[in-house]
This record gives sequence, structure tokens and C-alpha cells, in this order.
Amino acid sequence: MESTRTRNQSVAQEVEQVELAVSRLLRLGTSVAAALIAAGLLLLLIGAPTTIGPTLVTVGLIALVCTPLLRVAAAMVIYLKLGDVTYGLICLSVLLFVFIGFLIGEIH
Amino acid sequence: MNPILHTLAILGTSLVAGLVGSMLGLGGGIIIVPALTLLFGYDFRTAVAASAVAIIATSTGATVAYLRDHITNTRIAMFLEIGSTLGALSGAFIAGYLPARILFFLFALLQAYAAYSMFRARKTELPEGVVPDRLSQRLQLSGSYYDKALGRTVTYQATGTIPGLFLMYVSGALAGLLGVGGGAFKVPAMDIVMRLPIKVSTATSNFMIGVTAAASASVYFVRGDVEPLVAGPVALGVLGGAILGSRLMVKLKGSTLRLLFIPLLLYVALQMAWKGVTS
Repeated sequence: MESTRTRNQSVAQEVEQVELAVSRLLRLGTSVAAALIAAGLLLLLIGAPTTIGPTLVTVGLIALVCTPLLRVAAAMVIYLKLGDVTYGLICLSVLLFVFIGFLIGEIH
Repeated sequence: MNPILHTLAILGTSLVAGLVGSMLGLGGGIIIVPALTLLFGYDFRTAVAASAVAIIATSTGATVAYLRDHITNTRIAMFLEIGSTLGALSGAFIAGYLPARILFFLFALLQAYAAYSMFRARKTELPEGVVPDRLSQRLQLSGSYYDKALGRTVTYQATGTIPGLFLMYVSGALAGLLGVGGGAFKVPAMDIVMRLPIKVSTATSNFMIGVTAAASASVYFVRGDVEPLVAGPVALGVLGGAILGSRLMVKLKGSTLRLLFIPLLLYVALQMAWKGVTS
């Protein structure tokens, strides 16, 4: 009974840590991406005679596209740090499958 | 149309897509692709690339709030993500060998069945009498969150772990084969088979769809299909909608969420059946 409780507690703590870190990372990534996209669009729409507008939007979009992978990677690091090898490996395989998917998609 | 008005119109449409998508755990692609092609006259490639960006924006925008409210279950999401990413890989390999027409009809049938199940469970607030299987216990596919609509903490544990993982594989494969987002498939699978609370299913699906879409979005970037003037306003609008939607969803009752789901599943079923007829 006692060991079940401590096990549940440690799982709850682990979950808390992963969620907090991932949530912070996502908020930062989203804010940076949104700011870049908005700035680039404004420059484009007011007709600034440079290529900086589309570049800013594209960099913002790339940052946004990276956020899902970032959260899996962050979760993996935290799981491994906490000694949860099973979930660390689960995250690693997901990252691997996404990467292979990207390579296959690029060839096709 | 004036370029500023045009951008604002895309922004507004995307806001709605993000709002609906984040509340129901879908990517919003079922709204973005028809809107961009039919309303704004963009070609299919541009629309699909913008839609992949929209799926990621919905996922990221909503996950910030759902993680804070502890509704997303990261363990369940990561575990099931093995199925959907592997499925997407298989989908790319078997794409030429399976007749798309049959797959569209199959998908339509599954969605119609999901709509029927949602309708039958329309008054159910939380799953009852769930007996967790051994794998779910071993992997600790459980959690709890404070339900703002019910005013109490809800504790849950998943069941049907292997069938659930298999359905995620199917959802990933179908998404790869048919180019349709897996969200409309993932939420019913978690709801009906794994017997998770509907809010947990929605939020966890939201977390997952972004990861699967990241591969396809990167490919569209490399191919140059991502148009900054289209994908930019789509991303901003969807992000805004997702932030609003995720705040709204936590206050709704589970049964209300189910009612919102039924017409959407029927719409996807009809859309897939139509594609089966015309393909």
C-alpha cells in the first residue's frame, strides 16, 4: 500500500515537471513565432520594398513547425533525467519516426 | 480584393478554424482547405501546406492552456504517438497499392459509426465502470484534472490500450494515404475504445496532431509550397482561435462537447463518402 502511494506520488511529480517545462517552452516558442509572423506580414502589407517581410514570416513559421518536436524532445530529456527509461525511449522512437517520415516525404 | 482586407479575411476564417479545432481536438484542416480553395481561390497545394501549418498552430496554441489545466495527458499522448507516427510511415509506403476509393468509403463508415457512438453517449458526462487493462496499469496511463464545469477533480485510467494503439496506427496510415487529418479519428478512438473522459481525449488529441503534422509541414517547406502571405495569416488566426477555444473548452460540460462533435463527424463522413464517389 505504502509503496503504491509513493509510486503514484513520484509519477504525479514527474508528470507535473514534464508538463510545466513543456508548457513554458511552448509559450516561448509560440510568442516568438507569432511576433515574427506578425512583423513580417505588417512589412509586407505596408509595401516595404525589401525581402525582409517574407523572410520574417517564413522564419516565424519554421519556428512554429518546430514546436511539436521540441515538446517531444523536452519531455524525453526530462523522463530520462528522472530515470523513466520506458517513456524516454517512447519519446525517442516518436522523434525517430517523424524524422524518417520527413526523409521519405522529401524523396517522394 | 484589397490585400489588407484579403489578409484580414484569411485571418478571420482561420480564427474560427482554430476555435473549433482546439475545442474538439482536430487540426482545423477540414475548415482551412475548403475555405482557401473554394472561398479564396488558392490552389490545392498551397491550401494543404497552409493546413499543415494550421494543424501545428492549433496543437501548440491549445496545448499551452491544456497543459496548464492538466487536461492533456502527456504519457498517453507520447505512447499513442508511436502508433500514429508509425501509421503515417506505413501510409506513405502502401499509398500506391490500396485503392483510394475503398479507403474513403471505409473512413466515411468509421466516422459515421463514431458519430452514432457519440450520439448514443450524448448524456454521458464521464465514463463509468472502466476496468483498466494490465498494460495501461504498467504504463501508468492514468491521470486527474480539476473539471471547471463539474467543480470537482476527475480521476481516470485508460483501458483498451492495445486496440487504442492499433486505431492510432490506422489513423496515421489513413492520414498519410488520404491526406486527411487524424484528429476526427483520434478523439472517438480515445473516447469509445480507451474510455477516457471526453475533455482528456480532446486535449490529448490536440497535443498529438501537431507532432504527426510536423513531418508533413517540413516536407511542404522544402518543396516551397508554404506561401508566407497565405500560411502567415492562417498561422496567426489559428493561434488566436486556439488560445480562445482552449479557454472556452475547459468551462464546457463534456456532454456539450459531445453534441458539438456529432455534426462535425457527420460532415467528415459525408465529405469522405463524396470523395469516394468522385475519386
